[in-house]
Parts: sequence; C-alpha cells; structure tokens
Amino acid sequence: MISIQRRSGSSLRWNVVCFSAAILCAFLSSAALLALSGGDAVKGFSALFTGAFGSQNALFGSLAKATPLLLVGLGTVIAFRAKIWNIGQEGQVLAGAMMAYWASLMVGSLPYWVALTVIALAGLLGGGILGLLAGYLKTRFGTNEVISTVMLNYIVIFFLAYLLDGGPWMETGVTVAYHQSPPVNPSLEWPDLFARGAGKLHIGFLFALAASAFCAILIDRTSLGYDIRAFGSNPTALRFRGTNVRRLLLVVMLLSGALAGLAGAGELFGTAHRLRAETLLGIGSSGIVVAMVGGLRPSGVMLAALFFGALKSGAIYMRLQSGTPAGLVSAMEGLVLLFFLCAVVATKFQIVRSNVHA
Amino acid sequence: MVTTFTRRTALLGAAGALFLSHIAPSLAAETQKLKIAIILESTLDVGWSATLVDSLTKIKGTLPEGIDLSWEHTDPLWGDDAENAMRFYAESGEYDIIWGHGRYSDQVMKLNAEFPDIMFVVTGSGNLPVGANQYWLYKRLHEPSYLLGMLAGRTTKSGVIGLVGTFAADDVNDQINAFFDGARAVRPDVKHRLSFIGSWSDNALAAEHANVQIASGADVVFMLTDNFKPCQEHKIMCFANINDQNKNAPDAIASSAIIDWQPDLRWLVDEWLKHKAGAAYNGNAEPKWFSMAQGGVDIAPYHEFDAKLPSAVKEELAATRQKIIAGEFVVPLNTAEVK
Repeated sequence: MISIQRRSGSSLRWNVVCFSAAILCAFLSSAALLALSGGDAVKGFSALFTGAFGSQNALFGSLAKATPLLLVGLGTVIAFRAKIWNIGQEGQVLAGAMMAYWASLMVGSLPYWVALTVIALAGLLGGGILGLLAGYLKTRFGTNEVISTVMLNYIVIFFLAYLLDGGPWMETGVTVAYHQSPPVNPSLEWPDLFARGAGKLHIGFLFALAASAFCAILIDRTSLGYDIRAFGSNPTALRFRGTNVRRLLLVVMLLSGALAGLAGAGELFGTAHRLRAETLLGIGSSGIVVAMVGGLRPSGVMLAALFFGALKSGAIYMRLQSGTPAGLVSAMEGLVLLFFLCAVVATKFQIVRSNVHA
Repeated sequence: MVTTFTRRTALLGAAGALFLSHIAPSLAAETQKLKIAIILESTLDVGWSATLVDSLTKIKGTLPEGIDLSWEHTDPLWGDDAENAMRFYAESGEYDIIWGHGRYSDQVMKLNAEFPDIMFVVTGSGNLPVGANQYWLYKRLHEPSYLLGMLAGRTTKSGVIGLVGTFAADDVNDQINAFFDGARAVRPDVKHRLSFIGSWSDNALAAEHANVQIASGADVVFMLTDNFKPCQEHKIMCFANINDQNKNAPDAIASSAIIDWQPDLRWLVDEWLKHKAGAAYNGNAEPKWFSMAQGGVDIAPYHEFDAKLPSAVKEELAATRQKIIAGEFVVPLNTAEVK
C-alpha cells in the first residue's frame, strides 16, 4: 500500500535537491513553451540572462524591479505567517502610491529630506490604512479577509479611476490626457543611488533592504513575531495565553498593508514619476508569488524577489532580442510558482510504501 | 582565337578593378537604409496600431528611390518597460527612428537629448510638446466624422442618433462635435445620445452603452469602440472609426472614419533626409495632423450598404467630400466636450 506521510524533521540535502529540481523543471518547461511558440530556447534564455545581469545597468535594472516585489513579499510574509490571508496587495500598492502622491502635493516647500520622509511615510500609511480596514472588518464583523481585501482592491482601483478621469488629479494641458496624473514635482523624485549613466536604482531599494532586516528581526527575535507565528499555528492557545488577538490581527494587517504601500510610493516617485494604474498593477500579485516562493521567510523572499525582478527586467531584452511572445514571462512566473509549491510539498511529505499483509 | 594577356591589358585590368572597387561603394551608398523601431501601445488587432503597419507596407515601394524602409515592432509596452525598450533600440545604433505609437513623450524626454541623431516619434493626444528630435503626430477625424454625421442625419427614421465614445479627450471630442454638426446640417431637429465608457478597449461595456442608446430611440450609432454586436442584434446601421471595420460586421457597418499614416510618414522621411543632409532635427511642438485633402483621413467604402443607401444621399456625401478636399467647405474643428 502506498501512503503519503509527513516527514519527520527536515534534511538540508533533501531541501536543496527539491528546490534545485523545481528550478530545473521550471526552466525546462519554459524552454518547451518557448520552442512550441517557435522561438530558440538557447538564444531566448541567454538574452534573458544578459538583460538581467549582463552589465551594471542590467543588474541595477533587475534590483529596481526587485524592489517593489521585495516590499510586497515581506508584507505578505508578515500576514501569511499568522495565517491571515491578506491578498489585497494590489489595492494596497495603489493606496500607498495615491497617499504618497497626495502628500507630495502639500510638501513642496519643505526641505528635501523632510519631504522625502513625509512621502515615504504617506506611502506606508496609505497601504497600512487599507490593510487596517480589512483587519477591522474581520475583528468587528468577522468578515473573511480573503473577500474583503480583494473587494477593497476594486474600490481603490475605481477610486483612482475617478481621481484621474475627470477628477481632481487628472492632467490637463495641451491636449486632454486621460487616466494619468501630471508628472510628480521633479524636485520630489526619489534620488538614484548612483550617478546618471551608471544605471538606475532609486533609494527605495535601501528602504526594501531595511524592511527585510526589520521583518527578519520582527519575526524571529521579538515577542510580536512570536505571537504572529503562534497565531498562525494555534490561535486558540494564544487567546488562552492572554494575548489580545484582535489587536494582533490589526497590527499584522497594518504592517502588511504598509509595506505594500511603500512599494507603491517607491514605484511612483522612484520609477514612474506619474500616477497611472497601468504602471502599478501586477506588482501586488507578483509580490504574493515572491512571498510563497521565498518560503515565507525574509531571506527567502529576498532571493525570490531578486529572481523575479531579474525575470521581469531581462524579459524586455529577451522579447526584443529573440522576439519571444509577451505572455511567456508571465507563464514562466506561473511555472516557477507551481514547481516551487510542489517542492515545498516534497520537502514536507514523503511517499511511503508499506507491505500490509492481510 | 587564343587570348594572350599582355602586360598592358593586365595593367588596364588592374586599373579597371581599382576603379570599380572605388565606384562600387558609392553606388551602394545611394541606397539609404531607414530603420524604424516601433513601441506599440496596443496589439495589432487594434485599429490605431493596425493602420500604422498598413501605411508602412503601402508606402514602402513609393518612397524616393534608394530609400530602403524596414521596421519592427514590440508587443504592447508602457512606462519604464517602454523606456527600456527605447533605450535598447537607441543604444543598438541600428535605428533611425524610434516610434512610440501612443503616449510616450515622458519616455522620449528621458532619452532624446542623449541620442540627438535619432528621430523620436509619438502619436495622439496625451503627449507633451518636447520639440527638438521628438516629432508629434496627431489624427483629426472631424472631416470624415462630419460626413458620417450627414449620412446619419439623412438615414435616421426616429430622428435620434447615438455615439458611444471612449474618453472625452481632445482627439475624440473633435469627432463627436463634427458628427453631430454633420447630422444637424442636413436635419436640424436631430436628437443625440452620447456616452463615454472610460476605456479604450472595454468592448463589453461599449455594448451595454450602445444597447441603452438604441433602447432610447437611437437608430444610427457611431461606435468609437470595436463592438458591433448591438447594431447587428437590433438591425440598425452603425459606423466605425480608425480603420475600415466593415469585415467585422458587414451587415451593420455602413462606413468608417479612417486614418492613413502615409502623409505623416512622407513628412517624417523628408525631415529625416534633411537631417541626413546636415540639418538638426526640428520637431514640432504643436500637434501635427494631415487633413482629408492631404490624405491623412477619409471615409471607408460603403461595401454592402452601397446598394442599400439612397443614391441621392450618396451623391450629396460625395459632393461634400469633394468640397472639403477642394477647400470650398471647412468642417469646423471643435474640441470642446459635448455634454
């Protein structure tokens, strides 16, 4: 008889085998897709690699793409470790960008670094408030956060559409533009870390690194982190221990949303410089994938964010160099997630064959 | 006869070879390669992009002798992805023109000073007047829209005509005003229904709006989006814009207000040749558009509706079209939002 059993303990060697196999399978199946669509897999992948890491410019481009994914991924880790299923990152990214944009309209006269801090805090606040709202609905009315966070996404997207299409933030000028704000005040753009020409990597990358350290310490070294993990494995026990579970849930949603919001603010002031839905959509959902692939651990999320950032950054080069179809990179992301989830299962369970004699 | 090579013939031959080897490159240099890299905002099944490729294909053989035109285009790209693609093309040094087929002046502004010998092109509303080596193409469809308005005014039985719009943008409002002006020119008491769906491509939403307009009496509808199902279901006459969409609904689309990029391309090729001859690029800061007389816009053939439309109406339209082309009649350009 064949049965599936949970593995006792974990072996580093077996984990390495599983995840290496996952990466290999993801690349092989992507190569098969590439070949099926008439492309040259070797040329395609070498273009992808050159586009992602081939030069200092390319490397910084990958890190810049990894920045929002890392922030959203970290926010997701905080929520998912507590088994609170915040999947409203798309809306929280937008809310962060919107709040930061709003703040930028008011802080123009402040000294630069003060203004920059206010904008970053506004980004945190925007995403945080949206997360907090879903948390409040859960603690007050028992609303399932899966539903409330997704529904809030729509509310935010349509609110942004209102603001930009005929609303107060719509750009007016030589010709009527639509669904975008005027460019942000150039003096409030987030600074690049390196001189012009060396590659574009804005200061948000440092924020993301700081957030990684913050999350790693929070989860592993603080009592709040202990509560988060305990809430994930046994909320009832935690309640009996005397922890204010309601407050914990609100804090988790606030932190989770805030990090996504900071990602939105960074994209707006570091990269896009103009509030527009198209440039922000997709970051939230990719960030969730990054968190899952990263094994819900800050160090893993850093690696996964770099991997997916490189994929996104190299993808443009691959498309232009080898003419691969646009959908392929999204398909690759999906395949990587799928095989990683398989690998996670393989590290935790084993197939046992036992001879049962009747 | 036995040919013998004397020393003289050998010398002559060598001189000839030397001469030819000098002349050959200059002969070859007369063919000038013009390579265009196009960043698309939508897929090629959308009229705005499809018409560009059509026009490029048509113009390829008609350019001044020796210009070898070729182009390639991307999948839809926006924001910093578009900027990265533009930079990739610019740095390759292979392209003379980098063409952002939509709202790309933000991206052009970050690159154009760095690549002064590359011509950047952006199209449509929502761009900024950068000047220098950015050329800004525009499309004004008010002239053909006016003609379609006349057709609507002449054929409506209910006296109510409709228009399903995208956004109240500058280059959409001009069509709407002209369409209603044209209808009122031939039937002053005509009533209109107008709505904006707030999207360039939400065809399902467009159908809902069309159905509402038809339910409230409209029996001729100008669809600025690509869904003609409501027209077919209610058996009413509709018009399309940007490209001739008759084949999508031959029983419903009587004609379309269409654009052609050939005059724009000819102008840009001239500007490029001037630059080749040593002049600096001098891109337009005001949107540049080509009229019906210049071949920039027109109305599409009636196809199946040729037999259905009264010949008096067709003649009236043809006469007005001629007057517009001859400059005897000027369709007012009104970009104010119609309420």
